[in-house]
Amino acid sequence: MDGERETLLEVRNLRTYFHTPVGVVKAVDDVSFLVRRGEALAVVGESGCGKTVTALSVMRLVPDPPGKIEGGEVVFEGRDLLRLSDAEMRRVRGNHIGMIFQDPMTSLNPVFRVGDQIREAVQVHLGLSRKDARERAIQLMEMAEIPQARERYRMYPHEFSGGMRQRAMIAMALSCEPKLLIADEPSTALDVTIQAQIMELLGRLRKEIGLSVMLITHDLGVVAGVAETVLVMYAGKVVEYAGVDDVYYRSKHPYAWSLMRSVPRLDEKKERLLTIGGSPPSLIDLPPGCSFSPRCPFAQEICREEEPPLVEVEKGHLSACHFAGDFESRAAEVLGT
Amino acid sequence: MLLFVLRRFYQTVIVVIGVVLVISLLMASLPGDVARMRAPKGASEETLENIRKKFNLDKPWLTRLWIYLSGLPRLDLGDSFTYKRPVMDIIGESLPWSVRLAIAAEIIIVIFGILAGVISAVSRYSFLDVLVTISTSVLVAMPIYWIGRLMQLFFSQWLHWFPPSGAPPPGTGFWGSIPYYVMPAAALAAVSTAYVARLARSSMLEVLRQDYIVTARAKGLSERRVIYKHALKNGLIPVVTYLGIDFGVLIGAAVLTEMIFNWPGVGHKLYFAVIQRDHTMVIGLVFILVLIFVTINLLVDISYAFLDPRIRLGESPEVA
Amino acid sequence: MTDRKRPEDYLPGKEPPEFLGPEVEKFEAELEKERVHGRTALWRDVWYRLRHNKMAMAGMVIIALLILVAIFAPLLAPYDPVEQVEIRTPGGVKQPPSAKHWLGTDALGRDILSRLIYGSRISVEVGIVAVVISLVIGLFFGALAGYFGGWADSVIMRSADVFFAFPTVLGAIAIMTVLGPGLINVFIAIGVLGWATIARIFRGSILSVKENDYVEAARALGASHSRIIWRHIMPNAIQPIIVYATMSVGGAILAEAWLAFLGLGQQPPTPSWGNMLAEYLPFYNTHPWMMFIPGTAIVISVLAFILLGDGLRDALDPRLRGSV
Repeated sequence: MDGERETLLEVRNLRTYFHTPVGVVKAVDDVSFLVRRGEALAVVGESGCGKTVTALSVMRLVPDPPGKIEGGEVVFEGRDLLRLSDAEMRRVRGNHIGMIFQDPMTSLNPVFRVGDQIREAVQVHLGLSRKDARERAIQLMEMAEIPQARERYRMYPHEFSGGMRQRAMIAMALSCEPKLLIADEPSTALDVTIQAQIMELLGRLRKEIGLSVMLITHDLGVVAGVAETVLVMYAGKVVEYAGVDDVYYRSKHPYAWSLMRSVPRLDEKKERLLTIGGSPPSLIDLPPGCSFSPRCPFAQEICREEEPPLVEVEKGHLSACHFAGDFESRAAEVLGT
Repeated sequence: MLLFVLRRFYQTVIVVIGVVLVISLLMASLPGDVARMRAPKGASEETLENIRKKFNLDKPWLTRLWIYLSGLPRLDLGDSFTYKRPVMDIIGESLPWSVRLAIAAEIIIVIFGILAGVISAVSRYSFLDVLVTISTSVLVAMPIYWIGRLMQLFFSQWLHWFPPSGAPPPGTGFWGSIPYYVMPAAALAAVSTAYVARLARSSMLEVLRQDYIVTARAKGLSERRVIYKHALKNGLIPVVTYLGIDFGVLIGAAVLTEMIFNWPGVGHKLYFAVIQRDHTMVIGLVFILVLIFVTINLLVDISYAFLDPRIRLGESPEVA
Repeated sequence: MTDRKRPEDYLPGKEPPEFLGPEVEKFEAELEKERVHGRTALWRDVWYRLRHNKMAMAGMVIIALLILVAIFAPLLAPYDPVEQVEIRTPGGVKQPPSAKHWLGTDALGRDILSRLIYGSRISVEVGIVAVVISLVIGLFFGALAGYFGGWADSVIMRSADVFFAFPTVLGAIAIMTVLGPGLINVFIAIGVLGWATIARIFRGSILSVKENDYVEAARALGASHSRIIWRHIMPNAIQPIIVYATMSVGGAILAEAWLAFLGLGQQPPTPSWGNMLAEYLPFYNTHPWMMFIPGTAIVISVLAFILLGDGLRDALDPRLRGSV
């Protein structure tokens, strides 16, 4: 991790809870991380671990009711977004921070032309005339590698293929030259080959315009290709936060460690894959102590009693596990290496 | 788009043929002692025979069917027993009045119904929303003709705001006629407005839950723009579709309301035709009204294609 | 500690454990229970949500009351509904409510309350019988059209289109012109007119359910047509019908009202709410209270069915199922 780049977004102790008739869902519970200029941060975890809600919280798009940001700070370019008025926040959205979503088919308005939807943000935020905005939208579509952009401008979402729709979403999100792009599972709904193209496009854009990316995904393969830093979440909490190599090869938390060993890899010869049994806990009814302890192969008494704090085990490598310190030796013991 | 229009047209033709068959069948199946009901009490057998002859009741079923069918292309729907004149003539006189009333009612429905529904959806759970929800629920549960009477009671009898009944007399002019239109049009529109409001509300609520609304907000658009541009266009689609069907409800309501308000339209005529057992008139009126209904539906469906680009450009809509 | 898998067990050469962690056995037991009780859990879930919907529950209570009143009418009504009790008493007709006649008397000196109570029977009958007729015809043809498709589908749907061309009022008028007035004919007219919408809804939901994977799976396992229909398609496809049928009962009660207005329904002197309302309309400016009695009864009853229908729709909504 390059410690010299300036910090663009810093999230501190974010808590977002959902108040439902059956209880309070602690979707995001004391989450902190930061994104530097030009950095690519991947937020990883199983479905329901709170990664999407974290992203929505940054954008203040959490549906209220039943959700509510209960505490913490989201400091973007020096300003705490959580303290802004609605009007000020609207000027940030789509303008300084762009967001793309998982399913491009349902994320584009079916009754409006694609080009017009891309043009809209530019007109609203940058005040361009209709004609200028249109030209810019076509430029953006070309940048997003949509072929025959000028003709496709006039088309409707259902006339686009899945990959093209996602490119259109990217064009739309980047239309006002935001400094940060939040991508929520951008390739999950697409074919594998298209996935690769989209990821490659994002990577290229990062380099070309210095875009910071906060990528939310559960696909570890995608993470490896794009991310510099990884934030691993489980049951609404951060369990590991480190550079991508550290997390992949030198993980200091049983969850990420098990995840890595459950994925087939070409570079290591393994005879069998590990599985992590059971399922993530209900966010209303969390187990005592460490949330992962019921499924953890290394769990001890202390794990079931006390919640492990997130500590910096090594420089630039945080982990929330009681045994994070001597994790490597224990793991080596277990594997007999 | 063309394919869609052609398909709907073809469908309509088939339906019309079906309707014609049904109508003719009904006409031919009228109970035999119709003559006895028509004739004055104690009429002689000869009088009864004459009546039967006049209305072709002495002929076999199939012949009666044929006679009626052959009259249709010339729009000869037989003669009304009560008025002793061709049914078509009577329809011609009264239809314009009904059309005027229907237009007035439709304006009320579209403006108030959609407005109430959208505002209700947008300000969910607010006082306004609760008010709209309750009043529309109650309106939908009320017998249509009773709404008319209640209006006469409140607005004419007690408040003296509007004339209780009757069409504007000739020579009243546009502005003078309006007070005469208000109550009948409102009574006619009442149930439909409630329906449309409910539909618009639930449709908007549905649309506001969609992903593309989140995208619109993520673009930093103002809430007003999100609702009135992005949400509304999608939300109105089911409402427009319904408006075609609603016309049928309106026709039915007209039968019940025009009588209450003494409005000289086709509904009024149909009411009395039913009461007086003037079968030729009843069947003839039903036939014409059904044809009008089918045509309006066709037009509405075609115009709906303009609203939804998915239809216009060839992707087929959901299972009807 | 003893039955827990130890990390040492991961050493190469040993059988890798199926699962890690002790809680997993608990999870598996839960899963098994869910699978077995899956289907009943579904309806229990629906009932739970329905129970918590205050409006829907209010509707159910009103409907229950309505049915009870209809059944126990002879016990509840203070007078004979047809007997012109007060016709000879001076000032006895069109009496406003009093201690002797809680809801007053009508133009022929009959006790309105008793007539109202007996009238509930007609409303309940119309509601149930008409809707049942529509359901029987509609479900049958809808299933044929939806499941077998092809020309059966086309023929059935085209016929339905012809029925759709007739707005309910016109259709009922036309049918009853041929059949003549009377309650039984009302049942027939409304029932027969209603099949088309039910068939269309049912066909639609069958079509969408048919495409689901679990139907493919059942077919691959060699299930017969009827088994597929009954066990897989029906439970899902029937849901929109349940909602629509409930609302239709309200519609049928209203239909009785306007048919009575047109002189086509239950003929006097037997009271029905419809014919009572029609009877009292001319007195709206002299004795306005009269028309409010059957009118309010009708509105409350229909409203109850609407509320219940809305509640059922929300309770059955698949998106809400199994969610927090």
